[in-house]
Amino acid sequence: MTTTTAHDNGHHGHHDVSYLKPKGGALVTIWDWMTTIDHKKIGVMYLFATLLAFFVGGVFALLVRAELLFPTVTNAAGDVTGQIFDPSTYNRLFTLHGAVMVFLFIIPSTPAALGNFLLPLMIGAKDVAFPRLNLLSWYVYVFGSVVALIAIGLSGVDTGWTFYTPYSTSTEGEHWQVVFMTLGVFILGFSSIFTGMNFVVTVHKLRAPGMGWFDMPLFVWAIYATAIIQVLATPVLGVTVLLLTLERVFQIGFFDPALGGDPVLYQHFFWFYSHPAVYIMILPGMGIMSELVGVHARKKIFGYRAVAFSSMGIAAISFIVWGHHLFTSEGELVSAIFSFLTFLVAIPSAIKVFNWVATLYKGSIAINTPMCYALAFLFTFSIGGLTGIYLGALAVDLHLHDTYFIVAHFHYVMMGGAVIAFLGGIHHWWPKMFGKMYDERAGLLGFTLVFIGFNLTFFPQFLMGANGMPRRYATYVADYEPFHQASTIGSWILLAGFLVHLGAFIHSLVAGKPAPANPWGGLSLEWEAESPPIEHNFAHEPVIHHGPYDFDDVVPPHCDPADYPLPEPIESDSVAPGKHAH
Amino acid sequence: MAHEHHIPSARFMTIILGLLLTATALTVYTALKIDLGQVGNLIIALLIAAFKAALVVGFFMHLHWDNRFNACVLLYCLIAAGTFLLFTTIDMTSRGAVDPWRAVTTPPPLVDNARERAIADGRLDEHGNPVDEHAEDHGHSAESDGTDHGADHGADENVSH
Amino acid sequence: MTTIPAHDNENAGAANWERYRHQPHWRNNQDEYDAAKFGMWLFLSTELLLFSGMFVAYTIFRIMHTETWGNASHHYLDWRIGAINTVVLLISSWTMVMAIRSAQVNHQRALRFHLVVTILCGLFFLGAKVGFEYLPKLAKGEVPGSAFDYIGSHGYVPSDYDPLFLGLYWVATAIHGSHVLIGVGLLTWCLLRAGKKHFGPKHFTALENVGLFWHLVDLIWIFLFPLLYLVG
Repeated sequence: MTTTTAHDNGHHGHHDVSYLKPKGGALVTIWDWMTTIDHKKIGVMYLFATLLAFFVGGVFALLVRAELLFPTVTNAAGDVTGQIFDPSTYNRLFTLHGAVMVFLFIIPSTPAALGNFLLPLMIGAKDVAFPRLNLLSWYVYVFGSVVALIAIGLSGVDTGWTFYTPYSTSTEGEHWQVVFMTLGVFILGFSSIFTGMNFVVTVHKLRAPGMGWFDMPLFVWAIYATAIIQVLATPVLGVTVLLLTLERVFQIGFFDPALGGDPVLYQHFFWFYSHPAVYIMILPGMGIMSELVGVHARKKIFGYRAVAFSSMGIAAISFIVWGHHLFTSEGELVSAIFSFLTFLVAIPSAIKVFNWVATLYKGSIAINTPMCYALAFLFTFSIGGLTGIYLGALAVDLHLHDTYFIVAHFHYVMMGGAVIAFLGGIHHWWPKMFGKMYDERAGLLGFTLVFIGFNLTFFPQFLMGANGMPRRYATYVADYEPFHQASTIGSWILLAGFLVHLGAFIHSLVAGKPAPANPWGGLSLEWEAESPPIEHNFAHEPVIHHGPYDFDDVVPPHCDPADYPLPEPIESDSVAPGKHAH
Repeated sequence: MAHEHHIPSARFMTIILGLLLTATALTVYTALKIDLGQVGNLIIALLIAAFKAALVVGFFMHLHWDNRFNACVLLYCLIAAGTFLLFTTIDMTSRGAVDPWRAVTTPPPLVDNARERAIADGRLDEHGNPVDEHAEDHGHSAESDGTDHGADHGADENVSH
Repeated sequence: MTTIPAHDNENAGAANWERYRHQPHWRNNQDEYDAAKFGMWLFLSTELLLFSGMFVAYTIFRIMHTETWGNASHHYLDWRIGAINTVVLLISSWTMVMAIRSAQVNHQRALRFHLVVTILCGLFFLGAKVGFEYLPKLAKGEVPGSAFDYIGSHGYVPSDYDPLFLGLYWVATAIHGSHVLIGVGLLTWCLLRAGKKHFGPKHFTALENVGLFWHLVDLIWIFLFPLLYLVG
């Protein structure tokens, strides 16, 4: 945690100092952070914890890619070449990569880290509705992570992150690893539920005076939709992993056909949560996108209500499509129904993409790191989303199921969507969170490496998958070698990109320029707070006078008006060519 | 602020309790005394349970007088649960309609295992019939509330007499 | 629940509930109360969805093994114990309602009395469950999975899927029972606070929310009882 503050001039009273200002010596400060109920500190703690999880999951991913650099070949003499890890270690590596990335990083990353920090600021509140529950959710997250890490310490699990039965209930010699891993996931679920409950109530009850539902920034809408999914879907994950644990320990037989149960029932249970969970991952990223596009193109967001309602639409539809993960195992009738319903998700997602593109049109686009990430999102998320349509088509899916095509698709959505938006969001709000600017050139260099590395890693996987390369294998036939090698080299470029970002962030904390309150000229309420914000966010309860995207007629607060001249007034009867009617 | 809370009368709540207890008695009566077939009885029992649940939610949990948004929360939750139940049931009842192999299940060994264990340690004879020995006192048979007394007359008596 | 220390407040002589002040990030007590209740309903909906997993499993297995479900529920489970427990839980729900009502009209003695009765009912439920069902079943081997060691009695021969039915019974009632246990703990906490006069006409948020939780426990049992004990 940084101990420096940018604004030492604001000593009006006890509560008017920066939330980052230490309360005393090192021990006192640590105790203050450990027991804080300040949403900003909890958000920052979540940020560091999830970035740590991202690092751990990333190391597993790099090891997986390293193993796949060369195919494992056993020649006539019995010599094995091209093998770094034996197949059972490889199984553990990809399982842990998936489990850590999904449960420890990507689900809590944007909602719990950025959401916690920004949600109350954006709606002009002093804190979330239940601050102590918020702190509890952080500790539950840490506790669940520790339990899951015990499983990793005990040599890990090789079931895949989905814990499908019978792998998870009958693999030899991994009894307690599976039990710890599933219990860890069970506990992490509570953390997610607490965060979700907190955010729903906060949005309902703590908006600043004058802020109606349609005056909220779109990030808040996205977080709200996410929170609803967290509340309604996560408990089913809870009962699923609970039953799985009991199945493993007592052999109760719910998911074992030999005892009268049904393994496909497990898949229904698991995906009833885990499909909506995919939207827990991507919806906050879409919310970040709306902020980045609006602020850095200095344009009123095109179709505000359509974007807001599409978030809610995605939340609703997310509950009726889970069966498309089961096309090869479930009944034929229900497969057909789910295939049809799956196409519906494309509608709200496409509404968002079209509206972001329309927002950019004739905007004053600033090419900085956040905006570059926003543009990259449009590119990669569209690829990820459209390939999702292929996979939602029942007949095509039977061919592509469990191939690298799937792997590439969800990495384009999860990493090309959620992670890229998350990185853009961190850069966008970094000055607000820590009161320091980051180095723009380093940010752009990091972005370039991440973008190239990401596409080099995952685009070849579409080609391999369409040609039939199955996922989760430790080796492959020689035809796939160029694709796998390109993919592995891409993973190293990605690593380089992340290291550049890490260096830039550390440099910013240590020697960054102090950030102004509103470095981007944003109009949502968080830019009216200091950078970093004072302990209770605002010196006076903010009152809403303008919408979050009214760039055409408002000079941003805390900004030099010379930098943000108002546009030429447009005569009402002579619409300028190409000017959008909002 | 306190004036906004609805304070129900004790008499009203006692009437609700009376209704709930009556409905419980009705559930037991219809399930045990009236035979409408397994599905018929299930439907009756669920209807009565839904009625009881509505009373508890509406009045004991004050939802009838409460903020409508809390009712919305409950409604969304029931819709989600209903979706879960609906699609899983559609799958379960239609699986194998085209490819019969999807619907295959294999017979379970647990009951056979229990019987084999019982034969091995003498609680059942080699034909799987109960024996009259209580001397060994495994702690299993000792507790079985007189169940084994029916077999006291001799080991040859069939289980399903 | 923040309680302002007595020396901070001009109402130093007043009862505890009269001196309650909302937390600093709320505008007034009413907002805080509404939010707490809204949060509780969200939490209750997560609980319902947790149990929905058990009801889905019940439905699926009942469709798959209809015959076993019909026979096993009547053989393994005694409806009388289930019915008594249902009545006890319903009565405890009523006393919970009366406890909240007593707080609303500031009858502190009645509040404590109703809470004690509610706690006793919860303990009775757990006692009956463990004493008359769990322990005898453990002794007879009527348990799910590989520990199943029941060979039949009274002419009843266990069918192939009996362990699965018992698995559902044990898991569903154990999850429910753990909620009863948590509920008893929360009620005891409320009783201790009621002893310090924390609840009264102007402030009873915690009591109300614990009440909601307790009714949820009742609500689940209203469905579990007929499904497991009666119709099978």
